[in-house]
This record gives sequence, structure tokens and C-alpha cells, in this order.
Amino acid sequence: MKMKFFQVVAMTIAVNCANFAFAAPHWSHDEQATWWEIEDTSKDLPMKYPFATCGVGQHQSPIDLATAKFDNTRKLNKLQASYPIDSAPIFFNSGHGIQVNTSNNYKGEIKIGEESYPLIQFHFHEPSEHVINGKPFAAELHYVHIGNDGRIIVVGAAIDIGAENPTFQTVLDNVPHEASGQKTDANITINPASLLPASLDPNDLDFYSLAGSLTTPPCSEGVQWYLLSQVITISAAQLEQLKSFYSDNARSPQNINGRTLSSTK
Amino acid sequence: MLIKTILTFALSLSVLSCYADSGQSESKPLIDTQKKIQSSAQGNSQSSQPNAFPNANAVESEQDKNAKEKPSMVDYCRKHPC
Repeated sequence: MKMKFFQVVAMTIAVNCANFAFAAPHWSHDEQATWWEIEDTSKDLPMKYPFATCGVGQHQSPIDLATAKFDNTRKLNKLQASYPIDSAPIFFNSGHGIQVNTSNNYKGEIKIGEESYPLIQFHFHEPSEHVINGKPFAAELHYVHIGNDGRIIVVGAAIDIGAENPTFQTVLDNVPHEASGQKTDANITINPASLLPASLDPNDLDFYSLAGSLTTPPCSEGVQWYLLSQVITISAAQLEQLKSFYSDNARSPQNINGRTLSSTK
Repeated sequence: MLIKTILTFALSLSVLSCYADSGQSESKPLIDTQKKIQSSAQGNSQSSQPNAFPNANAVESEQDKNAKEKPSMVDYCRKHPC
């Protein structure tokens, strides 16, 4: 009974009163088990604990895909990625990972059915955050989109060791090594789509989808995840270069709590 | 554990206030939730006014507020991993 009350309260908090901590206190992946109890000493309750959702949320990400039940009764909208070349990307070291922010007038977007969500940034985790049967991939790429209604859509792609990825090399070569460092160069453009395998049809991507959260504090829920069925590759040398920035910057798999996974397959 | 319990209780109070304002329980986008909280605060401050129906200016002001929400989220995700 107590547990059920806790679950109901937690779910309600997460879904209905999720809030972003825009001036968030410091956190690190090493202390992820206690993200929820990090205090913002400048605030009173309940905002004293801006990352509380990390501990009490019931739709947290990432997950172990093998623990999820599939629900293929739902009709899924087509996922179409339109990521043209960005002529003025910002290469950014967030202090937690390497990231590329798209320029303000960038037109790239993901289309889900009739809804479009502009691409805001993409970033990398090493190893992957989503796992299968407890086994992570070498790394994971997240394309972060935010719709006009504020809804966040993340398209994730598992990364394996294989052929070198030239676009990823551009990222590695231009993200500054110091935390909070950023770089723009009029001579350097980036095509976010070229991180994906050429064999993929960007107008009809296969994916697994489920409701989840940001995988970093404040772990806000209401994020819809689309995990691409096909892995992408980087070389072993590129993985080592990625690790020279940040290693083990992945959140552990979270409880599935009855969520179901939808798939185009 | 004690802190977690207190925290849950405190947050549940804020949830109750959300429910009191919204009267609905379905999942909404994060920004919508913020808007809801803000608009409820706005609604409370206007409760002493004789006309309970929003006038054109109030609607416009709400639209302005909504339009400002997205950039703040975009800014956040450009400074943090998200």
C-alpha cells in the first residue's frame, strides 16, 4: 500500500509537475545513484531538490531493452529525418559529454507523422546508455529535438566498432577539450544525417519507441524516445578519441515500470 | 530514506496544487506543464477581478508567454546534454 502510494505520487509529480532546473547545481555521472538528493541551497522545498525526478520518476531513461514488453498493437507514425548540412554548427563541450549545437537558422528536423520537431543538438555517450540484456554498445548518439509545443523527442542510435565515420571525426576534431568550451568556424560545416549509415532510408526509419526521460539531471519525463533499429559504426581509434573527452558518461538502465516498447519491425 | 519520504510529501503537495489548478491528469509536454503552473499563478492573482473570463489582452499575454517558453528550453538543451 505504502509502495503504491509512493508510485502514484512519484508518477504524478513526474508527469504533471516536471520542471527544468535552468540554473542547475553541479552533478556528475559518478554520483548518479544520488542525483535525486543533490540540493539547490538557494531554493526552498520542493525546488530545493531540482533533480528529485531522477529518484522518484517512474518513466526514466535509459532502459534495458530486453526487459521491456513489446506492444505492436499500436499503429506507429512514420519517422522521417531531414537533416541538411548545417553551415554554422557549434562544437560544444558540455562538461558531461561532447555535443554539436545546430545554428539558430538550421532547418533540420525529425518528422513523426505530420508533426515536425527541429533538431537542436546531438551528443554522445560512452558506453551506450540503452543496453540489451545488460550489454552496452560501444557508444550512443542522441539527436535532441524540441517541438514548438516544447515536447522533446530524442532519436537514439547505438554505436558499434567498425568502419570509421568521417562526420564523427569532424566532431572529434572540433569539440574543445575544456569543459564549457565551444567552437565555431565558418569553414567547417556538418551534416548530421551523415552520421547515420548510408544504407538507411531517412524517410522511413525503423525504430523502437517508448516514453522516457532525459538521461541526465533533471531527468525530466515526457520525453519520447525513438531508438533506431540499425547501429552505426565508428572506428576503434575514434572510440579512444571519444573516451579522451569523457568516459563512462552513461546513466545506468532504469526500471521499466510496466512501460511497453513499440517497434516498426 | 527519511529525506526521500519528506521530499515525496513536499512534492506531492505541489502536485495537489497542480491538480487543483488544472483539473486533469493526462500527460502533457514539459513546457505545457510549466505554462500550466504559470497560468495558474496568473489566474490566482486575477481572482479578485470581477470578470472571470479572460479578455483579449489576457489571451494575448498568455500567447506571448507561451512563445517565450520554447527558446528557454532550447537554450537549456544547448548548454546541457538533455
